[in-house]
Amino acid sequence: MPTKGHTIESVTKGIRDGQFSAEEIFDEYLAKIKAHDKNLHAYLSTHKFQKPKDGVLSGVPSAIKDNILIDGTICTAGSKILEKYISAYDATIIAKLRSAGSVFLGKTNLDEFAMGSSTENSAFGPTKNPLDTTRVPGGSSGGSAAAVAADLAVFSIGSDTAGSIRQPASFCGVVGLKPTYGRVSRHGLIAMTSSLDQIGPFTKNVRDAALLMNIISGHDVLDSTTVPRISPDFLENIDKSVRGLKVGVPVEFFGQGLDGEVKNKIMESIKRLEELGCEIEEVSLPHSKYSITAYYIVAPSEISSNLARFDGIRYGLSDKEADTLLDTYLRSREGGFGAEAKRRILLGTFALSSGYYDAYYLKAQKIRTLIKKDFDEAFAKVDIIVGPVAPSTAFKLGEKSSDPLSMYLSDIYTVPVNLAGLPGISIPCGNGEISNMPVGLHLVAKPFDEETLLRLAYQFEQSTKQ
Amino acid sequence: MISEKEIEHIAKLAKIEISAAEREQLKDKLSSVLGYIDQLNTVDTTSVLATYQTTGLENSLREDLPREIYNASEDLGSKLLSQAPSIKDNFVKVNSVIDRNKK
Repeated sequence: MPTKGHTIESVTKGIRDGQFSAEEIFDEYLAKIKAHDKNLHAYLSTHKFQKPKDGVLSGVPSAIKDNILIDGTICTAGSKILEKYISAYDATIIAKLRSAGSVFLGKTNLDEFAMGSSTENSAFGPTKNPLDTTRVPGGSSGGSAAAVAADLAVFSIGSDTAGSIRQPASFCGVVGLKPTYGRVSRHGLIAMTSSLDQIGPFTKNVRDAALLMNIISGHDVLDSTTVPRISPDFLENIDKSVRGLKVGVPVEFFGQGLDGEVKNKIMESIKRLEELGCEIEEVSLPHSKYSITAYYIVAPSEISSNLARFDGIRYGLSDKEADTLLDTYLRSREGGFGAEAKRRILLGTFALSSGYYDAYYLKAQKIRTLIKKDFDEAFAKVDIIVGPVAPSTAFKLGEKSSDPLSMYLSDIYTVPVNLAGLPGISIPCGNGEISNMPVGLHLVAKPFDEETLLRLAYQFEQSTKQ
Repeated sequence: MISEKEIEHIAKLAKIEISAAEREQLKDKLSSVLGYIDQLNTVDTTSVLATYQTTGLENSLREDLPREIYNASEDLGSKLLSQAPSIKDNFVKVNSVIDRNKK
């Protein structure tokens, strides 16, 4: 797969060698956004150049999903309810990227509050897939994926609750990494499903992803779900051999519902992993088929709670006609939330309401235990699990937007990984022979073993270049 | 599966006003999702414990000391307040809780 435009390493080298200044490369990207983004709509807003700090990312222009706060700038979360909201501080990941020298080009489009798999739920209109503008870029981090695929940013940041980094990375043919739950701070990320949300990078190659992981990983006193452990240097062993690595293929991920063209590419890729010296073994994740179901209880439940804060009182859209406090709540939320947000809030309110908690929320969390146990048992035998990221390549705009269930099913292979809190990556492995759109290979590792994940991803990527 | 009356009740709990047309639509869409969700009942979970999170962290507490990190921006308070739609004397102002028009 050819990578389009600059990588982190080519920009830092270009600046070091005096080919261009940080401001020149930033302006070049901004001009490209101006010229091409009207059609794609990857960005919701763009920012002005700020003098970069010295660091490994000094002068590297990046794009940030618009549910992550950048001090003094608008953060909409793709929702009308936050259309004019101005962030009062930097998210931890922003502070880290800023001090490493990255310069922010702007904020990228997403499904409202990251709820969706196509960006069609954005209150500000969908993003289009840069490889075929009649197709979706995936979602919810569709803007971030499209920005990198179209080289309207060198790298971007997204969030992944059910596949929202890996699925759009797969659809747009870029690298997308969802780190282990607890590896990267979410302070300053607008919460959707707190027990699953995780921030991660979109990049043009695996090395850049590893380099970014070195910057964004680590415990944060402002996010008590981050795990206090030392992060390794993810670049150090990236080019070491993967010979003898045990790779598991879950039988359940190759059954009904998987498009033939995707299956073919994944099978070819598994063969390539074998050629690299990996030992391929069949594994079983029997409860993974319940993942979507469990997810659509856990997520709406947490959403109904997390989105209760949008009440028209302290920030965000507030209905001017309301004359009582209750009226302010009712009308601001009616006018501010889109259809999918409302559906999920109501579904979650229902699942948590008196008399239903045991049957829905508790049951789903128990299923989650079974899903996690499947992974634990598989990882007792293998180091990495491999499969497809999504059952199809990028679908057409409008194809699934009227049927929530069919949209939900596009996350069927990514959701179990979130429910089990594991790290996963999508790497391009060629185009489907029918749609001619990119297919993403999904690698999943043990908790906090992004090092092995990135190493195998890197070796695989190198092998596709030969 | 789910009645319009139930939708009305949930909407009230969730503090979202919903029009009659929306109610109809939501009834269909939520019913189909709930129908799908019911397949969970085929799984036996009698002796299974729930997983609420995956990090294994418990009671992530810190020393009860002021945190420097919050002093980083002196104008944080005013920046946060500036987002409120209505302010009086550094307080967020809200509409009356009691409906004065109702006798």
